[in-house]
Amino acid sequence: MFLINNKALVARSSGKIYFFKREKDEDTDISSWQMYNELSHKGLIFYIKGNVRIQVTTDEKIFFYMID
Amino acid sequence: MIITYDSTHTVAVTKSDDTLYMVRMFNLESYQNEFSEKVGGSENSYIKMKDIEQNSNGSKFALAFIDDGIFKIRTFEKSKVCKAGNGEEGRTEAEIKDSEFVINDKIDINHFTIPISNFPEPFITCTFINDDNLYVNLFYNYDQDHHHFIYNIPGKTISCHKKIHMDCTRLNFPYKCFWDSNQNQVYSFYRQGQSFRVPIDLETMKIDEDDIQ
Repeated sequence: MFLINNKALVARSSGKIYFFKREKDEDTDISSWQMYNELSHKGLIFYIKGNVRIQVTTDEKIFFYMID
Repeated sequence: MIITYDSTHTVAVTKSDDTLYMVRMFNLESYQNEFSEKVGGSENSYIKMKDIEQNSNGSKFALAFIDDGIFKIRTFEKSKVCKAGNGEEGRTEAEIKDSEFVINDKIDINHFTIPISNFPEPFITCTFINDDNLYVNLFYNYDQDHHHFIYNIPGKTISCHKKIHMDCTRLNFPYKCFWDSNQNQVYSFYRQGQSFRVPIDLETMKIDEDDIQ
């Protein structure tokens, strides 16, 4: 699990990669983490602090994401 | 395993058996082992340890782990422990003890926390707020209570301790926590989906208890 640039949370489960960001409910004034993207691949996440890019390596492919 | 933020070393946490873990630091240019240290090692030890945390410039490190129900934090500085060719010597027992903090007595819990067999999860996580202060949270699964506090490394003191009862099973645990340097708050995530947002005033080093979500 990684927090990317204090903006997005990227986590892996046994079969998927999930992307979350914080969203504030204007009515209740409570923020919560909402999933905004999902990658249906079993993989590993690679991230170096300070980089806007992350890589997700899977059995067959490498996925490149830019979190900006 | 982590690469330090100054890109000079890698730090690995390895398991020998349930009673003994090792922390090792390797130089990324020479590949020399420049620091090794045991965690546990006695017949009464039962260690669970996973992540090692570092400060923003990769000069200080913190290990949060559990030893047979006793939560502990151990810290070290790279400049003081890292010596070329001294990889197997490490620190003395007195130096290690001096850098270790036993949590249970300070937050008034006993040693009844039982981790999950075959999981490395220590039921405790931490993250650096700045060079001298750590945010620490743990799950006392006997009562299903989340505890968090700020640990001052030089003073070996804790502040802003708070206990929150959680409506979950005893198999829950804090998975990871992060320091958000833009918003000055910590995000903590649990295995079963719960999360905490803990705002911290950097000037007073206090947690805004009313604003925890």
